[in-house]
Amino acid sequence: MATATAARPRTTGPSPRSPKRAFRPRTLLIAALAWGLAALFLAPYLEMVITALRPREELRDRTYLPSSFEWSNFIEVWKESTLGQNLQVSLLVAGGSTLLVLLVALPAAYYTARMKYRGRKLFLLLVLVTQMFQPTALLVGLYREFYQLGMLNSIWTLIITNAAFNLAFAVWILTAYIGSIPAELEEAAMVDGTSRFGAMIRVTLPLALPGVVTALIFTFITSWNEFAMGLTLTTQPESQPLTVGINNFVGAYTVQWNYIFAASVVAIVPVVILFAFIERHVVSGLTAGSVK
Amino acid sequence: MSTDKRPARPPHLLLFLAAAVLPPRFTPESVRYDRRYRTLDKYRFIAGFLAIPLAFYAVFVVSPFLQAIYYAFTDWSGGPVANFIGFDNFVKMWNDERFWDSTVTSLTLLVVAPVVTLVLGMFFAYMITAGGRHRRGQAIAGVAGSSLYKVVYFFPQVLSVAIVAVVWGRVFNTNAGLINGGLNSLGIKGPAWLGGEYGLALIATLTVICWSFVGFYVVLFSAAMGAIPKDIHEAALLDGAGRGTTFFRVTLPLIRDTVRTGWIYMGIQALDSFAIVLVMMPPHAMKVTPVFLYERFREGQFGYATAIGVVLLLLSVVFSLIVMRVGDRDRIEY
Repeated sequence: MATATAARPRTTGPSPRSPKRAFRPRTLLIAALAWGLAALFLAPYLEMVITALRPREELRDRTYLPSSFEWSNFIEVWKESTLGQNLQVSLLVAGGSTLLVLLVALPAAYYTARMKYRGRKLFLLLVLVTQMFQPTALLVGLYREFYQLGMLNSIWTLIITNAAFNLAFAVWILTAYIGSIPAELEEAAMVDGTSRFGAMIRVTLPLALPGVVTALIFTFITSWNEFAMGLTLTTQPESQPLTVGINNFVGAYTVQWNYIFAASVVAIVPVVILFAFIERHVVSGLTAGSVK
Repeated sequence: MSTDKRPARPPHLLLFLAAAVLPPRFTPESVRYDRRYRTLDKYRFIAGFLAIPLAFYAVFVVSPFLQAIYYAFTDWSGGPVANFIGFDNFVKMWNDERFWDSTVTSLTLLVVAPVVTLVLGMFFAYMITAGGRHRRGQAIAGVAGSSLYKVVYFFPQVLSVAIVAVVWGRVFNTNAGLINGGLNSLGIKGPAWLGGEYGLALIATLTVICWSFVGFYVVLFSAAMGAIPKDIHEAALLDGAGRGTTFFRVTLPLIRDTVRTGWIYMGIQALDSFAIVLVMMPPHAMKVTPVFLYERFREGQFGYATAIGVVLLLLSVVFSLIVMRVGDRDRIEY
């Protein structure tokens, strides 16, 4: 303890000794610990990829690496299950709800950011409160609603529910983002003769594009990953999204982990690609409404 | 000159209605220069821009919610009839041992998961923003490669919970799992993590919840810590405060609001750990309230299931209110 307190002023004060390459044991220890922890966080992914490539006979082995990689697992899971249809459903649902959220959330966010209307606070509160509802508590109510409409197993059901559940987050982020763009820019465009709509499309939207893209990719990823709604609102295996399809493997082929993980890898690939695009915006986008 | 355009009599109400439906360029002059046109213009905007999202909320979020409250008091089982039975479902729940078992688990998760996840998240965030070596001229510095760590921790957040549950189901597998494999190579026979003892199953669930959510809080808290002006940390350092003191006396009080929001959000997530438990746990093992609800739903006891849903919602509201009250002091502005 004494050495630590004695050492501190030296490294921070105007000491002539340069601390540039001073690798102290404590620094090394912390670095090693951090890397170890990161490895611990990454281990499950590795396990997933390795199991996806494991030959069937070695699934119950305790070796960490299989004797050979079995790439045909991916082809077999494709042939033997409804994975193809599930993938199609997931793509349509995620794409459709993203489009719907764009059409609905953008005008609402624009209006909320720009206008001081009565009930503005209430609207934002509603957005926050609906964000806090657990989907599980709404399951039966939603099931009842779509049952009455005769829309169970329909792809529109999943598109609409996913859009409704992601609307809150999109409106919240977009309101914060558009609100940070000075309204004077639009006023200048309107003085120059553009309509309000034109100012919104040609001036504000291009400036808000990073925020819009973040909100949309987030909607896509959440809809793509959605599980509880897909599980309850669909009953036929071919009309279920990918996440529910993977869950079906757990019941049907409890031992065939290689198929489950081959399907999981397929489900993760689009998420990895999209996340790589917005990774830089995640911090600013996520915290737009919550920090300060 | 402009006064010429204003008619002596105000325009007819029908003209207003027509102007409300037609695009703005067709608005008659007499209406456009009326005092009431401003109000009309305002509400037309509201109708166009806000009505659709509000309708969405009404039909797909608020309505199922209200229906759920109503059906909680009925014996609806999927057919056309739903008899009003008062509080029978809630009485049944009170006497149902399985409900209490699952709810005790859920409440344990509600209390423990936020504390563990937030403490870990805060520790990592502090390490990332202020854990690095002191360099000259900088009061605080992050560890090397901090953005990489953020991505690594955050990534589970963008994975489907179903996949997270499947992967961890394999990791905790008694025979071929990663953990028991490691224990085996050390000469220890690994226990049955998921289907065996209750305590082990609880630890396994907590591990998965922490793993998948901690990254979100690392990102959230490091953003909040990054927003604190550097001179505050500098002042603390000049006064001779170490890293620990700086964290507890300076950083933590300044990000208290963010921590509280995160705590509420995490509690609700822990209470709703539906997919993780449903997919990862074997059917006979530990259950949480949402899984218990889902099982009743699958059995066709829709009225009972909605009643459980209402209790679940009440629990999360009570939890949020309690946390909002905790340490509710004046906000520190900087």
